[in-house]
Amino acid sequence: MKRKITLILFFSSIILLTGCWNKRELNELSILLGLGIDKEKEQYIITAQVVNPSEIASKKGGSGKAPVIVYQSKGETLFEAVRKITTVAPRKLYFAHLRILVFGEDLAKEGIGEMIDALIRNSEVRDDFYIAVSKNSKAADVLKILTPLETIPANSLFASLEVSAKEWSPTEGVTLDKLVSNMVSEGNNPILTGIELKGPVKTGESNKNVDQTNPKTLLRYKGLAVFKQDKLIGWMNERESKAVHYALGKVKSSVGFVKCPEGGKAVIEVVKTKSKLNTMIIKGRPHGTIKIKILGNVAEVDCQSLDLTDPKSIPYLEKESEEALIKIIKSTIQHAQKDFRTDIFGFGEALYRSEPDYWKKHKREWEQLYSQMPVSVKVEMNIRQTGTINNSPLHEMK
Amino acid sequence: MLENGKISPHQYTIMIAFFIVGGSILYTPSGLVHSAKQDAWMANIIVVGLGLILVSLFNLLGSRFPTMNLTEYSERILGKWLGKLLSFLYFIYFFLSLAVFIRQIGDFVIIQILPDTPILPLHILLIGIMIMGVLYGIETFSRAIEIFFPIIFLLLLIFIISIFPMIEFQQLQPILANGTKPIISAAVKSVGTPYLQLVLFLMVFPAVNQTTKAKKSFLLGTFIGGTVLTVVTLLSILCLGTYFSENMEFVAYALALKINIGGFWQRIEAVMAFIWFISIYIKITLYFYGSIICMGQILELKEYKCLTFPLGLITLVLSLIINKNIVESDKQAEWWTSFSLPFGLFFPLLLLIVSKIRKKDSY
Repeated sequence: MKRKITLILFFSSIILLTGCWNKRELNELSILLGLGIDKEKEQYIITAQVVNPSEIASKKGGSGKAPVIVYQSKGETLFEAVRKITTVAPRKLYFAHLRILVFGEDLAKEGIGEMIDALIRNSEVRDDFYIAVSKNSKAADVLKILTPLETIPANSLFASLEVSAKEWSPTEGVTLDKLVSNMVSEGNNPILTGIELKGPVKTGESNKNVDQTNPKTLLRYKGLAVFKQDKLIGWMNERESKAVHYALGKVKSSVGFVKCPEGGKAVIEVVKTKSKLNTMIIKGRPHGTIKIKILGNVAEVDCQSLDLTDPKSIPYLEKESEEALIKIIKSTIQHAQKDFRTDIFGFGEALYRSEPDYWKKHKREWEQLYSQMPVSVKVEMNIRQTGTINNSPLHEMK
Repeated sequence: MLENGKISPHQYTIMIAFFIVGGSILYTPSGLVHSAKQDAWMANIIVVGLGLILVSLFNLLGSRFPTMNLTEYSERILGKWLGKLLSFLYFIYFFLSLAVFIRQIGDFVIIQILPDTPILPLHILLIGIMIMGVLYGIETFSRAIEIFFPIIFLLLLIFIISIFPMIEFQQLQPILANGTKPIISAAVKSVGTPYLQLVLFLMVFPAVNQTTKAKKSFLLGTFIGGTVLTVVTLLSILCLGTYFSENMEFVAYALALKINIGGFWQRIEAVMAFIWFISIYIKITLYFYGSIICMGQILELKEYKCLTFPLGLITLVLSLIINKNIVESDKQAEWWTSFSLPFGLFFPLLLLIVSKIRKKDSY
């Protein structure tokens, strides 16, 4: 008898254990992949790029509809605007698969702090997506553009940022946690990669844009948004942003060229870098040092004068590229010190780590000290390989 | 004797280690980091030291009466009525702690895992298995713990190794930037959770079958649990930095969320949650066991199992009303040490001194 009761209880409990309380099946979710935030007259405008599952899932190539849908809504706060999207979309947004977050330039100038809070507080948001700032356009426009090859634009943006950060280096995929720790740190400031829209928005919105071999409208990562705490204060160009990433040791692989002895160019492919950033106190004043070690290969020789069979030409190339790098890194640091007056390199944090007492005394006037601080840069370049040939065919064509 | 079950010193060690890890693995770093910043791990080492001193005190008291639990010898030392009063105070202390910890699990689940689920069904499920654990008795329960131990140990190891690639050593610098003062004050403040709570094990102490070994296992268990907490604190500072270690509601869980090795070894935060669920389940069951034995002793019952259901129901209600909101329960951690101080330190000291003066020990 007792056994029967146990069995009945056991099986009837199955009815109760059907799943989560607030389960949402796939057909009740709209999976958010890209989110853009703009500000217009005290109101936030959010643009949500949502997957159109029927287009993505069908093996036959879909019915020619757009692979994503873009919803927009306005609100006084971010969370309000996100919930308001349900008035236009049939399903509630699901944040866990977010790939890219784009801030509009105008919003970034006013400050992104309020947006960040809403995102880290929400338990549905993971911090494995990248954050970028749209340059010269609205974040909304960036998310409306359809991209070739990767059918989902947000995935394309994510992948492109990841690949370019790895192979080219002026860009960087910044995640939420990194952004927040740089934002709250007293001795560091955040940087984000910029996205630029090339071509008219109108043509980019429709599937026709990706039907061509050469899409009229494209998205391109360009420049580096420099922040002071949570406010955008300026842009750096490609060369400078590369220099910043060299200084921060974030370059994984990159390309740089040097001049040959008698004109022409030789291209060095960087395969490995390591950098050390320090701030020391010399005679009561802070002094920054950056030491970079680079391992590179010769990737391209566009000149006749360089003889790669001669062991002397390798030290020559090393020296030339060291000097070129030191020059752009120094000018970039000066640009950040004099024009932006914002410590994006983390010299302040380095000072706190090495001289905590000095930092505590002077952290209030850090901006002043930083902008006048001398920084010495040392680059050690090592070139190992020259590829599958030694001398260039150009060399033989004398 | 209310409890006739016997447990081995080995089981006792595991029980204590779980007890320490259970309540604190998700919470410890934030409190310590708040005042000691990047030196919080040193504070943690100091806390373990303080904990070991406390445990020696408990050992001294426990081994003086190897066959009796806390309530039994408090009656013997202080006389019947005063002893019963003290036992009743301990009952209140254990029972309130029980409700607090059940609420912690509920809060965690509804914040991180099941955001829209009401807290009541979670508590009902939890209290259900808690009652079950106590009904089976301490002997069965500790065997269950022994089975869990290797699984949890392995998962914890996997968790720790998975975090290694995210470590940034410069997060630890500067070491001792603010001097030793904030470290020591942080350590003293957080000795309440979980080390003062170890007084609960004076209720289990007589069930261990070898008293001399029980003393050693008490120290060993405390050391193992403390080491795990120190490692978790260290890792959270190394990977998340001070801002997140201080402000995340559940730091260790946030740490697990970040694990991503090669794009496929990721999203294993449920492992962390599992470790925590098992260890805090052990913790609340021990609290429930402690409060029931306390009550049974006060009422001089012959067996304690009749108390499980009524007290379980009271626990359910109490766990729902003990905190109004999450901010209150976060604040609680700050005054919990001062609340635990009489129970974890003063009363055991008092009992020890009075028993020496009145020359009382077990028969």
